[in-house]
Amino acid sequence: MISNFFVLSPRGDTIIAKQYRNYREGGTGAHERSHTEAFFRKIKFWDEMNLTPGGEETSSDQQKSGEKQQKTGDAPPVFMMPDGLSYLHVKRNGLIFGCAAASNVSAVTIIDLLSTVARVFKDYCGTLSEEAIRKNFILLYELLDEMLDYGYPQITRTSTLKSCVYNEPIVVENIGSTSNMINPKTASANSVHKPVISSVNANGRKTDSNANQKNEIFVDILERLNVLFSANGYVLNSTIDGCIQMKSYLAGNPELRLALNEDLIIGKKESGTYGSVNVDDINFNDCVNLNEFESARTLTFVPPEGEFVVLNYRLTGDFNTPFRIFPSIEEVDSKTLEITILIRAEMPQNHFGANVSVELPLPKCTNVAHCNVISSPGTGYTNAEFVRSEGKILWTMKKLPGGTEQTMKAKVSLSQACTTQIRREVGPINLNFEIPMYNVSKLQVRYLRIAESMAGYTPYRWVRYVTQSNSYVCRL
Amino acid sequence: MSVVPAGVHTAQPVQFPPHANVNVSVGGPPGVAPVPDSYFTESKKGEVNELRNLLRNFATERDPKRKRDIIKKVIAYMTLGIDVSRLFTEMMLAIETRDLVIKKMVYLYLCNYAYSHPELAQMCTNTLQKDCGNDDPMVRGLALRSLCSLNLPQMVEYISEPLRKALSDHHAYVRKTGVMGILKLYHLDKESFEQCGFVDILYDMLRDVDSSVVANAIMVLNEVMSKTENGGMAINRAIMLHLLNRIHEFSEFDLVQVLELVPRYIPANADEGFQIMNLLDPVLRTSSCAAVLATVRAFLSMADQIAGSTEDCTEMKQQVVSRIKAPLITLVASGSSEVQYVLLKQIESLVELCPGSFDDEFRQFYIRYHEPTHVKFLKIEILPLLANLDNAPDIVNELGEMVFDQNTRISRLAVRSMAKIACRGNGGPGCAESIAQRMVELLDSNVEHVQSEAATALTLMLRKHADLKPVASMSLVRTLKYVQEPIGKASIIYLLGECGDLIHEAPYALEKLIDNYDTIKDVAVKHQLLNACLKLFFLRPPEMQRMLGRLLHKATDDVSSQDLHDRALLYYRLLRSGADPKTILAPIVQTNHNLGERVFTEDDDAQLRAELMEEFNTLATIYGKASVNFIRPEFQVVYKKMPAEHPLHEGGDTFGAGHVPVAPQSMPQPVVASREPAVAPVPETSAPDGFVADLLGFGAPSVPPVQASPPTAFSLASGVTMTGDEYQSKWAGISDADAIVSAVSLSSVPATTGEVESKLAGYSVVTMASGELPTEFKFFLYAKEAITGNMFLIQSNIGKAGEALMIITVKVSSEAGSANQQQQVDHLIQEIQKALG
Repeated sequence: MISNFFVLSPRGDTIIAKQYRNYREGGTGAHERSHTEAFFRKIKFWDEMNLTPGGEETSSDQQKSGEKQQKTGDAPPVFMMPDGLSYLHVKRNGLIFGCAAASNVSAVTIIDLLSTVARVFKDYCGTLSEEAIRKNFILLYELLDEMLDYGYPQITRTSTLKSCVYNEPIVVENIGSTSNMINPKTASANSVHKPVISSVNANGRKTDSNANQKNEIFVDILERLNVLFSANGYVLNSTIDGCIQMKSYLAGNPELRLALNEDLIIGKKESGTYGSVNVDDINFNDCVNLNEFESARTLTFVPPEGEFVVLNYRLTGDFNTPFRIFPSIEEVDSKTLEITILIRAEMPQNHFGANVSVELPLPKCTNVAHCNVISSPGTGYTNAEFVRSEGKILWTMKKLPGGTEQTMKAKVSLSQACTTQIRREVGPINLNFEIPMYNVSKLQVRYLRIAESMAGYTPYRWVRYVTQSNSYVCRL
Repeated sequence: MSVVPAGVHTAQPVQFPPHANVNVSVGGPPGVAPVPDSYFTESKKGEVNELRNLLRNFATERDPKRKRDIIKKVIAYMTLGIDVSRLFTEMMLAIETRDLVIKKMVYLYLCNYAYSHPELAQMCTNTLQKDCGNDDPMVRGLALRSLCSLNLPQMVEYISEPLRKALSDHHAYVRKTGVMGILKLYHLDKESFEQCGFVDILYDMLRDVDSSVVANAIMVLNEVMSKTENGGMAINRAIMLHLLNRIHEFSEFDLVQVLELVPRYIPANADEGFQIMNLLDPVLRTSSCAAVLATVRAFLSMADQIAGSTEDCTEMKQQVVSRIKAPLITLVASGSSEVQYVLLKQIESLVELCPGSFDDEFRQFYIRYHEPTHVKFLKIEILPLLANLDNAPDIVNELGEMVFDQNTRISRLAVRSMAKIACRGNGGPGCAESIAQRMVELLDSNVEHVQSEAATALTLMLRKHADLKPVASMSLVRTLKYVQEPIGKASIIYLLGECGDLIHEAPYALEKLIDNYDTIKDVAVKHQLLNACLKLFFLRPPEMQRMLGRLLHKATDDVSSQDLHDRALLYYRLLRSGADPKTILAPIVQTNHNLGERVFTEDDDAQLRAELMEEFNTLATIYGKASVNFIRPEFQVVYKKMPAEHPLHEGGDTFGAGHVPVAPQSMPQPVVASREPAVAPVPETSAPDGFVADLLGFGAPSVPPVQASPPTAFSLASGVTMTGDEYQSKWAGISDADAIVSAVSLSSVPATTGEVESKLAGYSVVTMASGELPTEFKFFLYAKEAITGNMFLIQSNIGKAGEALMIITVKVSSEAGSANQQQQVDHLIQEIQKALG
């Protein structure tokens, strides 16, 4: 049970607010608004020394944080405010979806609920941005009314919501996502950003206008890699967090069959035969029927509308890391370091890493750093430079084909003599990349079919494999 | 006047077509190209008036699109906080429309301003009530929701009727909205809520065909009953099993509502507990973290309930945790950072509940590059809890890498976590020593906060492992010179005092501090200086005597801290008293304490942890303190497990007695009557072969004291007969709440039902039906009192295992009212006791 819900812009303006319970006599909306402002300040200037999110701060602490007014850490998603309510929030695309709760609720449930609201908003607006929300606020209030009543969750599925929501979305052009990774192969197609809703006719009644709807389904097999290398190239820790994500625009919501590798093994203990795919654990969306999963590794489900995750999987242990990093540091003289980083792409030659960027933090006392990239053919535009404001070298490559390698040499001059302490400030190297049409785990979609054969029903199926770095770090 | 485009918007499609009428009225200068408009343009005085004009033309406006836009504009102003309540009358006229989009917006407006304009809101009651009877279920639901959300006490009389109708509506959407409406009515006017008897209806609605209605009924019941002694909805076996059997119908958040009931339910026996766990197991495979966590809590509670002994319970919890480990980690891996944080908090408490359970997954708790700091902090705090013989070196290495992280808090926490591994002592032999070695290296690291943390860590480790002294003492004197942070400095001084026997120059290192006593700002440093000097004095009196004298002189003159001043004075007087100082000051100067296996008293939080496990998966787990400490009293809810006793329940000892607050003594009326007035009669009640009816009526098996009752005339008529149908209808005709439960202890468990029957027949207690179940005998009996003509309807059972106890539920069917029922039943019980005893 929550007592209010609000969406704040990245600057802290309240874009959407809804009060469910009022605990003060004669309380007004204005009063509540000041609370979201206080909440926003708290997030913005979160003081990391405030150890316990639930703890009442001592007055001196408060004064201190008031004086400093600077952010020294990220605010946890759950904390207590002086008004005695617990505030929970999630951040999506810079927007803050938050709520307050007075009773001893389950934080997991509320966070899940907030994420669901954010996802539904995205489904309906097409994209999630401040502009999209401001333009569609009527639609979103309507959605909220159906999703939450008196602070309790009601209808939370996009497809069920469709039957009771009547406003039409105003589509906002997606002005390039904020991340600098726009690659035609990996960025979602524009049509993925179209809202799910059907149109409403003049009488305010729904028309089932599937006429102009293209029968499409988008399937992404996404893998995020977490790899940690020691300085000598030894893999210390490696996991893959993967998921199969879908967005369905299929008319008539047919039942689908999705088949995975037949030799898929779940669980750590069983050691599979060579070449089989062995994941640690897997979980499924609750719409998935698992009757045939044990026998044939086949899932059946009616895809809900909007974006949804069919399954999540997790894999630890040895896999072929797509990139290897070989760093070396040499002390040329007491104030100069020469750092060499070699990156080798070890995936097959028909694949490539896109938007590869390497971050190398340098000591605070760095005067200047000259970077020099020894390029090998086939790589696109590469650039390496020292970004002073962030105190690190940023080396970007548009493309790094499989089987090739790239070297960067950086000459770093320091303002003081190099000590072991200063040496320690170098690193760790962090690698960001994405590899289109490639996945490391070898988990595959054998087929995706409409369960019952319908004549003349030919949906477009867009299946993509994407491997991304989540935390790809090499120590120095 | 011109429209100011809001600065935040880039050029965007024109909302209004450049139609002359509209353009003029919103104030766009004629002749100018259409101004990019927005709902959030800055408000000017008079714009509300213009809106009023627009609304006046509303009825004549043909274009439905523009109609909507006019209303949208009003709502836009409203959400910006501009007072558009002046338009109330006009808006109410717009409510008469078939366009649901417009209708919804007007209702939104209405609910927003109703509280501040009650007299105006009352005007539209008629419209709302009419809409509650609309053909479209969406309109019915919408009107009902708005009607209940007006939040006006004077509206109560208009609400209850449509509400009651809605509850039997044929469309689930309306029923669901109606159920929430009841809750709103409850908060608006508790009296009329009681009068309407909605609680009974809500219990009935738990059997609604639509799962969302059921879920809402659970939510509402839980909130309405939260202040009763049950702390929420009353649960009995029939309700629980009914809900669990339908578990697949519930959608994500509705499912959570049902799952959250399970921890409060006490299963009838271990088998049922296992069945419930098996039934819930598939939930662990879903990707809904709310449902998974609710299931985890249900599992842990089941383990508490069905385990016979504490060891069993611990073992079963181990099994539960190892079952849920993989799904939880997958959720952490696939979730957003917010989900990760709250899940990790839950995992942290599970690790402490079952040490060792997550050890093999320790690499999942290594921090990752892009994680927000709160997740990183939490992971570093969990890592030491996972250390064991095998992985401790890996974990310590990993923490060692974090020590020099750019974020100072991460590096501090990393040092602290290493110390924790050393102090917990589960890292195997040599682990503590190698960590101490690292700490000593860190003392020389030249990074201030790292040195300080390392020094503090060493003090903790020395308290635990006195044998680390030689390692720790190596570089203290040198370090003392450059550690600046007060806590670190105090720690070093403490260490110097501890290791005084190993460090020759210790007194001289401290001497400088004594000389510069006046420059020391921090009280903690002064305290430690005093203590350390005292300790050294007993080790090496000749060197220290003069120094200590100087220090005591200065400290007793120091007025900055009362505590310090008094201590110094105490030491001084003790030393001067001439008594053997070694004995007097032993607690202070004792250096070679060895804690061995014990944990530090300040870390011993077993009791708190047990309290927190009771509140697993709530905010209490996140904050690490019990909910009474941070939830306002009006929102505190007691956590009570139900039902208190089960009819199926054999033995009676299988349940942890601690969980069921059984009344200390046998109560005169040991039953439910007042506790569950609202439990709806269960349909199967009348079936004589079901024991469901009993579920509602069983209290503690406490035997009412057989007292010498006043000799009132009581005798059972003989030769009474009754048909099965008659029996059933009479039984069903009496509320379960009026049933009286008692128990009779038998000399031994009967071999057959016939044995009991014939004995009872001798006392004019007639058997309607009886049967033998695997675990118990079941009897349906009746008897008639000779004088008053009261009929006693009796259902009873005798468990085959355990104590020979006959549990009896009696309903009295009497013409003469219910006076003296309890007394009559007491007599009847005595008769039965005589027959069987």
